[in-house]
Amino acid sequence: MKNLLYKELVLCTNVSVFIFTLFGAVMMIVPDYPHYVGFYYTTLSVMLLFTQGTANNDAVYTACLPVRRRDIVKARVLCVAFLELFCLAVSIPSAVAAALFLPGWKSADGLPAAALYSIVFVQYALFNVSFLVLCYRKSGKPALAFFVGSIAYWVGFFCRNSTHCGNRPRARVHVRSGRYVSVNAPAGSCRRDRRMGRITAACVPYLRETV
Amino acid sequence: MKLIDVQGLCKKYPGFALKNVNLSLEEGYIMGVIGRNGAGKTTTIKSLLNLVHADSGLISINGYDLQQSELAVRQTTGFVSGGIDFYPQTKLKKLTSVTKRFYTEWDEPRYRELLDRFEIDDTKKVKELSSGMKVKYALAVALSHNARLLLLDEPTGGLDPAARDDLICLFQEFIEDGRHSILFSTHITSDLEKCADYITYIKDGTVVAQTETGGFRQSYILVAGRKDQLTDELAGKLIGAHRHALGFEGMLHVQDKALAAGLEQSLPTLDDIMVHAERRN
Repeated sequence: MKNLLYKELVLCTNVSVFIFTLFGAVMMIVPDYPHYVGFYYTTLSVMLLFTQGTANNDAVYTACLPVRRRDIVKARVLCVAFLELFCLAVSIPSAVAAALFLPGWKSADGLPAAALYSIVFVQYALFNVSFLVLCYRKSGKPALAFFVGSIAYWVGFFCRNSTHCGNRPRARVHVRSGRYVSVNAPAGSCRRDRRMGRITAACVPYLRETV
Repeated sequence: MKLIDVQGLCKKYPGFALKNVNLSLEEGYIMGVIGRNGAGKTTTIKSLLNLVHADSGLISINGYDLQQSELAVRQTTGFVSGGIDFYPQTKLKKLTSVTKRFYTEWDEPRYRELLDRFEIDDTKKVKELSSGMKVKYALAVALSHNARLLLLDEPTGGLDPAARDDLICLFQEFIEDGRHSILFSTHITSDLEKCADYITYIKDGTVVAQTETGGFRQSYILVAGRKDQLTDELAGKLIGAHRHALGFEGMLHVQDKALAAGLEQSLPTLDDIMVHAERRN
């Protein structure tokens, strides 16, 4: 596995992949920029990882190595996770630096840091579960997988919007079992909150089936 | 010890099927696989490394069962498939630095020696190599991890005659200790005549012959004669007969040699055998 990860980072990941990954972090220093958009660039770098793999015939090279097939997939998924975590990790010091040294710098979405990062984690999770699964199921069609992954990513964005409901009671999504998901929407709760709860509830069984 | 032992290998594709292929190769020998394009040579070789999943059959390589010990099979087997067509923008040095990490018995001095022998500059990118140099690089890698068995799919295709001759010498050096073997497919059958101990002939997904190279050639004779010498009995026995204005030519099994009395006779090359066997009358 260590060797496969080394291969992913040395052979498969080139400069353009890292440039897109760093965009999310760099966008942090742009005043009034919606930061959750910046993190979207990392998903482009993930797609580049796959398209470049196809262009370089990586599947043929790796298939001839003395490695297990499931380890090949695991290494690629770990590489994707590394890129996403790398983007998040670099964005923290750049946000701190921007807040300290740029007068009047503020976030356009106004979310506290922990909330922003938790939403980005959810968005990445939704993207990964859609993109990676489709990439391996529909081999050779990373663009299609990226399209579906992007939709999943922006479902996470709408979830973020549903956090703006003031002090009204919140709709909650309950995962009752592996397949059954319900939405608990108390009286007086925000309409957008209820809608997002239903979308999320609809996504869970779909994602489970896809996986 | 058998380095290759394949029994009842079957693989079905739409429009093509590999049917009940049996292969056996002891250590210390070179086996050539011949057959026309699409006959199933590449599918057979790839099945030996699980690069193609066989539908049925038992495959044992270097004493390891392929299904149970695939990694051990790959560690002890070198595979070259007509050069390298991956990572064109990557320098050979970088590609090797990654590849060698996967092999527990990587032999760096041997790799350096082979680069010098093949005159390969490892600071070049893959795309800067000619097709012949790509084959040589792939061979250098395959020969540098102490593989006991080499599986080569069309390795001499892009090489000039001098390079092919050098390669054949290298193959003979590889097996001379009696512990290594080579299985390779090629269309350049003259290379096999120089070095292969055994020949496997695959036609339409079926092994039609697996025998010693010399014996294989001696089991046929080429005949040629005038039109009036072509009797009905002879015409019925001729393989790949070709009639022309001056007469005819074709191939006979050696047991039908009596029919060739009075005709021009010669020992066929592997090329002749393949051409006549594949020719549609």
